[in-house]
Amino acid sequence: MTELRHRFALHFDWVKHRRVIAGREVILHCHHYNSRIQHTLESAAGIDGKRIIREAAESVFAEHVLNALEAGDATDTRWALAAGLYAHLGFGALDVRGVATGRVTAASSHFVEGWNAGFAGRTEPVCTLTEGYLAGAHLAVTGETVAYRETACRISGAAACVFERAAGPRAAIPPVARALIAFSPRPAAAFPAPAHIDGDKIVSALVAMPIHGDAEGLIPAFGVYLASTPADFYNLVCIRFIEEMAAKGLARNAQRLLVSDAETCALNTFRGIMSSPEWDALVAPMLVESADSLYGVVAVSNALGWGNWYVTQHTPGATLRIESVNGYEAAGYRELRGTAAAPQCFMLRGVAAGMMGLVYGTGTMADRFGTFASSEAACICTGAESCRFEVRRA
Amino acid sequence: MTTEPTAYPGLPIGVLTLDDRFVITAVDAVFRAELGGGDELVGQPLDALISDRDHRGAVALASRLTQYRGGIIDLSLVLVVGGSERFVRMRLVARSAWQYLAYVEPGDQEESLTYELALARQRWAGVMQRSDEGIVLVDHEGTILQHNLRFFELMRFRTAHGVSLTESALDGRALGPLLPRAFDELQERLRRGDEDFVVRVETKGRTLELEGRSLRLPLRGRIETLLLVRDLSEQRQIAERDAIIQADLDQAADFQRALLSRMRSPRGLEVDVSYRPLQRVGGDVYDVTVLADGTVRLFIADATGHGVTAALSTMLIKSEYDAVKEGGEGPAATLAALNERVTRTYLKLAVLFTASIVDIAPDRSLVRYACGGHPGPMLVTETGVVELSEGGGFLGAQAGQRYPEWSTAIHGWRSIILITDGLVEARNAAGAQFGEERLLAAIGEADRRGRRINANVLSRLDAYVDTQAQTDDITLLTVRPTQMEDS
Repeated sequence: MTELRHRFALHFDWVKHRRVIAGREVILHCHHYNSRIQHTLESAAGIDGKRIIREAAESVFAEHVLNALEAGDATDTRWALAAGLYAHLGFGALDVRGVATGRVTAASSHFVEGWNAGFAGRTEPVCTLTEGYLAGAHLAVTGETVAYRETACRISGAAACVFERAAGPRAAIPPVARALIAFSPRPAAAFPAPAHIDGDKIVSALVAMPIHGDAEGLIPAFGVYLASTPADFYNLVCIRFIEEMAAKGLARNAQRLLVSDAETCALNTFRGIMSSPEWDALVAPMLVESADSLYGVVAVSNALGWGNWYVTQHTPGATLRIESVNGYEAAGYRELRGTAAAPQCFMLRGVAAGMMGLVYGTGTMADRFGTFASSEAACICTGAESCRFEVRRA
Repeated sequence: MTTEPTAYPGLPIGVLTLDDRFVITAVDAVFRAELGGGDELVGQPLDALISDRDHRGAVALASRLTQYRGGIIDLSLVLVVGGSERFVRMRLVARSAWQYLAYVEPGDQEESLTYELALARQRWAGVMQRSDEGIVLVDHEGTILQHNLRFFELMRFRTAHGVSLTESALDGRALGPLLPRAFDELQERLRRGDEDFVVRVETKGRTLELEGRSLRLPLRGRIETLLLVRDLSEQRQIAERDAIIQADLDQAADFQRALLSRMRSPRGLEVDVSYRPLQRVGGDVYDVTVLADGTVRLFIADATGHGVTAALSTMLIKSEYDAVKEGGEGPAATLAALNERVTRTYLKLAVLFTASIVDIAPDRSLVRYACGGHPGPMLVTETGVVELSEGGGFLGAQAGQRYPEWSTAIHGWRSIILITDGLVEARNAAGAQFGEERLLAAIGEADRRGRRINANVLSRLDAYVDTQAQTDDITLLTVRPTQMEDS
């Protein structure tokens, strides 16, 4: 596997601020966001949230794994690459030696660890994305369309997560249907640089850091579990969740929950980052006044593949205006659904409020949640040239 | 206008009727009367009524609606109705597969139980947030119900990979499995349901003290346990640091005592010194030296401030004084020479002090004395006690200063007393100073009654100030001819 790792090498697109692994734009998110999104979808009544997650993973990873394969790869190599990509992205460690018998196991799982660190107890299997990953990988490796279901999970005490091929026919795994759009983000030079924070230096340092799965296929860093997940996956699950909830008259509620999940993620993840030795070494020396912590957090987020955004107005402790020129949500929605009647960037909206709550709030993260309210005043999805977010004290 | 019959006559509970998409289809009369609003609400989604400022309420409702599978949704919310924000309790239930009812009750009147409960919750949240102690509530099964940030910080719950658990991961979780073996005694106490207890735990280089208090309800007994967590490590470190500082101060006091007691009573004279530093070390310094011609030179000085800084100043003053005291010059010239040395060498350290030099002539018939901002010496004769002249400025402020000098005959003298101002400036409970009058009276009384002056003065001082804390260093230096006898 070591000799094949070059196929997973990270390429950072400085114009689009995207992280690309094996030809796919991937987003660094933490277990807080991943588990909360999963919890939001799977706990919703009247829809099959697990299906949304699984089907998105099937389509996305069928393409992603295929990107990592080369003509001439033997089947064993192809499966090793599929497992290697899974681990490199930080999802855990898959043992595919029994795949021919329809059985794959996982000794470690981002989803199990993340759920346990963020929620108080679950007995039902939690590795829904992995079910979709394996079906997508199976298609990429063999050309066959099958389904996998998790029949045992470490979250309920099993020694390993077990995935078994489901019997019987199933529907084809559709490709990710996207229309490529011509879009050029506003250049960074159009925005005023913060007085004390060198954003490019921070992004460069983070891009240079080896953020990929360890021997267990996990990425414990900055006090959280990170994972690199294709942007298409997040966009598909969020868009489909809202569409299915809209059919029940609950679109706005669904959007509100996605914003809330992102706010919680920002509070916890950036707290971990601000408590890390990396922050102490890289960002802390740049801090002169209290507002600089916020600018530092924004700079860090620009290294995560979310796109790039810049503060355009900030009154410490009170208000924030921040403009995203290339958010993955907006770009993804345009590619997947075309233009929208209303803004669609729920993750960035929540993160904007969360960052303010972290820097200026007090007490536990639960106490800080809701300290600030955010709105998206303009969105690339509706035809604006950038996405603009406004945050104020609630 | 679409209305429904009043659901609870006499009670301030309004009802909104909602369709299967939670859109308002009817507003009853009680809602209109209690909260305002009317037909304009029909056709609006329920969550559109939530105030923009109630972010948490909006998220809570969104979460409950998306997960709704029956039962009652019971929330407190801030709604905007009739142009005003209203704090309400709202209970929502499914009436059928296609209709919901939202029972809305104002909670912003002070007599309202909803208001009281919301206020109590805010107060409790405030206490939890601001406490320096970790606070956690666990139920009778050991499940965490609520905790504060300090508890989270103290306990440092981590996964096997060093990832911090989120605070939300604690509530609803059993406390026991989160605790390492070091907490076994705590677990046992919780399991037994002990009423009140205190447990100390050594973990990861820290000492934690956990105090448990049972919370009881009538008829139900113990329902929850309140645990307070304190990190004694910090207190222990502070105590250890204090002990080190105290030991250093003790040694410094020994040094200072040794430095100041390096003198012998001149022949024919008896010297009595009483020295009470404000802290372990002080800013007063004194000296008694017999000059080459038999003159007995008394020196007393009072450095500004007290404590370690002033004590270090006294070392410096004493050292420089020792260099000039036997220079063959009179008291004023000696003070001037001392001032020159200190200002030339230590001006940047701002060593400021008052001082006085008293020379008793070899035949003991005359005193020459000079002052630099210091209280004047006192002379006891057969006719009584007099305070001699005083004047001059501080030493150490600038070079080139001159100091006044006086001389007076002391035939039949009985005692010469030098003090520092801490003695006369000591105050009683009413804030009044001991003062010069009382000092002179105490000296005179001691002399008349044949008592030792220092002992009598300090006895009178102690009685005067009673329990008031000392506020400055006190020095009392008394010299008398040895033929004087005590009673």
